[in-house]
Amino acid sequence: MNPARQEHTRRRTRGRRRLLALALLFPVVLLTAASLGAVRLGPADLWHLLSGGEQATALMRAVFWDIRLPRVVLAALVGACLALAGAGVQGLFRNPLADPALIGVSAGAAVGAVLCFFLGWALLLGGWLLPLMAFVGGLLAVLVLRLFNTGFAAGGTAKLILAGVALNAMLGSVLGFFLFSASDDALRSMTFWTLGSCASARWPQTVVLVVFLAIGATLLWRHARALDALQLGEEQAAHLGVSVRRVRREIIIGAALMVGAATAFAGTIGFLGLVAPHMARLLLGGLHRLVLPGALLIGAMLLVLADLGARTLVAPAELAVGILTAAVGGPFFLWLLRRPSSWSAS
Amino acid sequence: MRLVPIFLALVLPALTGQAEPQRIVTAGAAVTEIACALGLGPRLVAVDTSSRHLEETRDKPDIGYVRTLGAEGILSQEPDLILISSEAGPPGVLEQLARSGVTMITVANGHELENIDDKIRIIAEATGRTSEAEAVIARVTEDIAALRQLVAAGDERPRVVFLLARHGGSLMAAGTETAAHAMIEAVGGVNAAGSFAGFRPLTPEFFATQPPDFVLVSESVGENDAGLLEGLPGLGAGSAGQGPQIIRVDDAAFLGFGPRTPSAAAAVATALRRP
Repeated sequence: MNPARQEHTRRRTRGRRRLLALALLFPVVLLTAASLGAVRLGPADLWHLLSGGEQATALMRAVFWDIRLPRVVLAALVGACLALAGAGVQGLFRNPLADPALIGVSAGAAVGAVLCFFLGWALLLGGWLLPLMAFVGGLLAVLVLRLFNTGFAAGGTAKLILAGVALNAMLGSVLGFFLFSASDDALRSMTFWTLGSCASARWPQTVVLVVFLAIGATLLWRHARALDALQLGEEQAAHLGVSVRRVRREIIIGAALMVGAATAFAGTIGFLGLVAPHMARLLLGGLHRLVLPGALLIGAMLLVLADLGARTLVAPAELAVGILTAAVGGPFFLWLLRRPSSWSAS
Repeated sequence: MRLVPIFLALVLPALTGQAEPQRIVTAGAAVTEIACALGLGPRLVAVDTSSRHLEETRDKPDIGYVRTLGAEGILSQEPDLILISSEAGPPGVLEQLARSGVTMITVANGHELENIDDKIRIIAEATGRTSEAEAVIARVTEDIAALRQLVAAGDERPRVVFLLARHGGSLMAAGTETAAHAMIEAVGGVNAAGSFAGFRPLTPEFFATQPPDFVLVSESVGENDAGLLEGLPGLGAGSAGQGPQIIRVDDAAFLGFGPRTPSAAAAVATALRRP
């Protein structure tokens, strides 16, 4: 075996080990987050709750099963969706600054949600119309963007990115107009929604998110090797037998489904989709079979931790989770960047 | 058989829901003010941020902004009654609270002085303070009558604008569908910014083309913000007394639609009629 090949295998093994470590860390983070909160639950209380014992009070049961646990699970799913979508979009665009927001889905979802508040429909359909309109808004924006997915010749991706930037700006001005014309009441709800929060979590929402995460993850996973090939350039990838247009289409749809659903339930949460995939690449190397699951786990853990801070730091009040995603993820990301030879690992 | 009355005395309150709540969480300034006016201050275990302006509530735990409440934080205070104003949210969190089994009562927060006594009655009934409520309602009714008299005595309706000096420079004026608009009408003024709904940034030219007679600003607007008004055409020192007069209001009392609102309004109505 030649030395380069050996080095490659060594890195891949190291990446796999680290991915396994992330996977083992994940339940620890989930359990820690579920055991902490404004209502103090000791280890004995947790045991009673989890084992279905009768010793837990009604308040403890309500808080743990109906409020805290769905919230932790929702945060994990939202973080996973955003980060996985980010990994796919960054791989596709071969651009370190690409963010799932670039394909217009977050802005589209925000316009859908804000329109819902504007019309005073936020509470209709038992509160489900709001996430539905946000989701539809996100998908419509992406469908518009898809019109620009033409040809794979040189510049195809650049055109898509530029179309995304223009689309975002247009949706931003629509959003601004709604914010301007809204009543005071609606305005405050809109502002709250655009800050992002997992506070309103309900079990049915987590079920819906699991479905979308599964669809999105399947679409992206199928193209993990194609994404690796794309890193060499689109023409090279095409020579290797990758159908660039199809890969683009399916990854954008997968990312849109995940980000649309996540945004629908938690509002717009920035930073995670951009940074979690980079963290995965820095830790695990550049292979997408490692980066995609790694980003999913890192995104889930980051948002669970950020939300833990949101609900405990100023308890009994709440902090906006958007403040904390950057506060939790930023320093860790900078530390990764500072490590010697961090970029050569990717 | 002697035990029956004692038994009933112990059990009946619990059965009919008449047991007085001991640990109350309130969200919404008017709701908190009413609870305090009914003598429930010591029983409040936590209040929202907008309710901490009162002496009695200043040191209570803060459950956050009334529209971004968190269910677990509220329940961690182990309340037996949650009193919230209708602007409280987000809806998903209210739903979680409703499912928790703790009694939660929503008090509609309309922009009508006539509804303040309804709010007082709802809260009094929920807390078993109906006799205390009578005195508070009587005072509120009296204050409203005094305000009406003042307003009826005035022959002209002055043009009034309510300004929020916020966001580092832009002046936001209260249009229709705001508490400030309702109060401007209640004190016998015409809202000079009544051509739009909600709060909007005002162009400086507004003061040159449609000068109001009075400008209402919150007491909490600092000195720096007050200087902001001076730069505007027709406002402040530059116009040597010809410009609109600035009246500072305690916005918690004036815009809260709580028990102190009618008397605060009467004070403003008096200021509007001063030559």
